[in-house]
Amino acid sequence: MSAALISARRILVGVDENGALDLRHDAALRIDNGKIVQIGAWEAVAYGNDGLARYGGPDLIALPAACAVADLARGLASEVVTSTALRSDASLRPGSPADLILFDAQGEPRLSFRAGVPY
Amino acid sequence: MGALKEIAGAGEIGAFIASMTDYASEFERTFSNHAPMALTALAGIGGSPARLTSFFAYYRDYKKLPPFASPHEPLDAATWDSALGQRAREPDLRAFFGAEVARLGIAPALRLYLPRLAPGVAASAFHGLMRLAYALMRESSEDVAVALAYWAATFLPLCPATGAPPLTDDPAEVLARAAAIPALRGLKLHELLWQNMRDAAAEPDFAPVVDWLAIDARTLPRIAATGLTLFAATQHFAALHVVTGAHWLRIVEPYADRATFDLMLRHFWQGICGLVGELGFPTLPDPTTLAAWRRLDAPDWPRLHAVAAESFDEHDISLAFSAFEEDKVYPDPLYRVVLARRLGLIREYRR
Repeated sequence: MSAALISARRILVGVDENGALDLRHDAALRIDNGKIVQIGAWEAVAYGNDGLARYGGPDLIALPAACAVADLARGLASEVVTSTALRSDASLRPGSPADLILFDAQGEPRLSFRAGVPY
Repeated sequence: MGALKEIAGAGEIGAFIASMTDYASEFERTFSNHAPMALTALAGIGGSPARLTSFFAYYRDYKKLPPFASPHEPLDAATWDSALGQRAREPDLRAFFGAEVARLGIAPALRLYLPRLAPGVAASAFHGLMRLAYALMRESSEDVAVALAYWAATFLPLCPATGAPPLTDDPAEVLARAAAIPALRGLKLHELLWQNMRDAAAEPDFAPVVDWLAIDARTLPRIAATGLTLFAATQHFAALHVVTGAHWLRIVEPYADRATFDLMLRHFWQGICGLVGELGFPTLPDPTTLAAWRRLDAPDWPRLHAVAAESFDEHDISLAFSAFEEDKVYPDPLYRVVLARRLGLIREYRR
């Protein structure tokens, strides 16, 4: 279990009932005790949290580990994907386990997290 | 306020929020316990009883909220203000104000005690004011007494007003003038807003700032507009408190006489000016830039509230509620834009 900040250019937090993507932009996740507790602008999640480990970067794409595939990451990076079939338990919303993978714009996985811990 | 009272002032949610008085008003290092206010705001943006419970369970454990202490030395009408600014006396102040609000009623008690408290509105970085505003929104006598005690115990007088002629009626100009005070450039920044206000006020060159703003009936709308611009420009935690603080002031306004409320406004803006260092000595955007930001495609309020209500961050929730309330009174699409940006729902717009 961990506490951390993970930033990305785009974060796929889930999809709606129509398969439309629910994205956060130029944003970061705040992880506490293995779960996501806040998603938002860097200023919002970083304030008062100087001591937390920091991962990610402004060009990365964050996907739920349960649906993390290179094609989807590339599609999000190039903004051509607007919907997807996503497992219903694949979520990066507050309260969800911080299980995610960071991809670069070419769809290469860069760092994976389980319960907020990089592995 | 009626609708919020129905949601957060009674029933299951009301009882839950009322139980927050069991916890201290501040926790480690004097950070403000936002739970009573955040829960009310969460109810105001559509949070269910289950969501309020899960938010509080996280907040209580994450912040390690201590229980409220017991009173040890009674205060009365002749002695209560000897305890101003003494955090250790908050239990005694709560007992005193509890009896006073019960005896007088909410409005008469506030008319009686706000004049003494107004110069210390910076108390706990305006969180005494915040707690009072939320108590009034819930129309809870008990919470009003709690809020008065919290405000009194954390009372933070900065430099007193002298009656010197004001320089401008524009809060933004006062902020810019304060940011130009060289002595504020070298101050060490603390992690708590009230400590940074206190240190700024200790600088002799900061003393005149309190008199610089001309106060009139339009001052609060001007503060609200300046706060919104400041937050749009910075997305800074301190600027967020200007947006929400303007809302809290508006709620408290009907309960204060004109002179008292004017004094509150004066010291509120003085406190904000004391934060220019923490804010990075900001420069406000020009009207063209602001107009472009207003045209950004931000989600509607139901969507914004749904996303904010998922957050475990008390300031996301507080801003979502206050920005919505302020937008009703001072309609401005920028309220949705700044909240959408804070939540990551729109891209960074300040590049």
